[in-house]
Amino acid sequence: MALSTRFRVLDPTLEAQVDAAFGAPRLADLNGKVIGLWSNKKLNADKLLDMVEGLLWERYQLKGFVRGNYNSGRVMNPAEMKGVEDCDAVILTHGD
Amino acid sequence: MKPLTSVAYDVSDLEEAIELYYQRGWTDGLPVVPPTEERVTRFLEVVRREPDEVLGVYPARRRVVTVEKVAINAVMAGCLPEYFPVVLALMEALLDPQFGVHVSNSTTGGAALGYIVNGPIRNMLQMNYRGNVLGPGNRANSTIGRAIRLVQINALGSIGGAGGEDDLAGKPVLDRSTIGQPGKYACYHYVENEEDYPSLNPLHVELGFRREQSVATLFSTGGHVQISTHAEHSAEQIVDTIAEYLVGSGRLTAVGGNAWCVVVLPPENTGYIVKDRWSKADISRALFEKTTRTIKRLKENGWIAANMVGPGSLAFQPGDEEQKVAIAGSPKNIYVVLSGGPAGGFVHYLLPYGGPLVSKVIKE
Repeated sequence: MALSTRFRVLDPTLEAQVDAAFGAPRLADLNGKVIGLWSNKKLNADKLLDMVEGLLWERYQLKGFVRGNYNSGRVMNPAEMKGVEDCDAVILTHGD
Repeated sequence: MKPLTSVAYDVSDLEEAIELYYQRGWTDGLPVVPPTEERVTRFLEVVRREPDEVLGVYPARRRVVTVEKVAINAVMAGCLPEYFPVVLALMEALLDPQFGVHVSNSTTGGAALGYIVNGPIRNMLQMNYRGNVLGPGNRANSTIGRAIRLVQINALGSIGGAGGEDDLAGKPVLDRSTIGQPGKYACYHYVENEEDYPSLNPLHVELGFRREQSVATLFSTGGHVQISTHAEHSAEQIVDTIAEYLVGSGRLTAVGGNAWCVVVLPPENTGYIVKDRWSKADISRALFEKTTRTIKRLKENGWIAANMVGPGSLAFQPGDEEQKVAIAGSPKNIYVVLSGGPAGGFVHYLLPYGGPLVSKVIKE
């Protein structure tokens, strides 16, 4: 009788877990809020943020925007964080 | 020990197992060792840790990394169970928030991970710190590095896509490296030679660990540059040549910042260092001083240090004469590692692509 060669192998992957612990609490509403727009200064990053700003002005009664720049290759330094404390939420460009 | 919880697949033979992992996009392009429950369990038994123990989290992609998942990828890489403590120490470093794994996991810049191993475990595992330290040839050196890479691909989602927009299994290509690089197969694996030059402290002792501790240090780099130093027959001459290459790298960075540089010296160079009674600190200090320039000097030479001075401009600004740059933020950020074969004055330097070096004790 031939020996079975069947065996079982395991899945090496992980799926993303949707968990509130991973992200900052979501704002219920953007009206009256200050939004930060932080650019990593890659190609078209500033244009993208200009478009986002335009769309947000169209859709919400915002208090205003704060702009900032940062280097996305490392943890932000204090100079790059200047102004974040004035924001209710921050949108940033990351990567290319 | 608790049972393993990963999904299991039935296969009819070894060939089908290998092809399954290719079809699912779970390899680095090379065949993997099929991770059976028995093989994975052996790894967990060596470290005496439960499979569901959380090693760390990767917030950007919301992954919670368990010992079980790392063990599966370590089996796939071809590790022996006794290598697993080193793999776990490197994973703890990778998931340390200070390391900033998302940069090397997602950049178009083709960053590779690198690691340095110090302490008694090097000889216990028969790791190579002499000729061909970066390979090919040594199982421990190569498979430990490959294990970390397979975890990046499979558990941390850095799927490369092999040229297509989606990988073979239709998953999104999240490693958008423009060209990639060979260091992304098994990492840069520099194991330090602590035996031949006892007057020079090994890296982990320089970093504050005890000599008898085994330590793994992880870094992220864009790659290495090899420097030929055969005409240089003194510590000063060797360091002068290395400094010239470092300045020519175009990567001078703000003094006082966190940038670092790793310099790997093989025995032929180390012999001169020891003969001239230099310490590693002497080398680091000399390289820092010899690579220090002012912004004014850079601009006079036509260099635009865009990362430091904003949009490219050669126009002199107030403060250019005072603002200084060097190959690293400070001398203590220049790390000297002794490794390589007995002949050949070939020095390596590696510069950062991401955050700082992170060191963890290897729990045996």
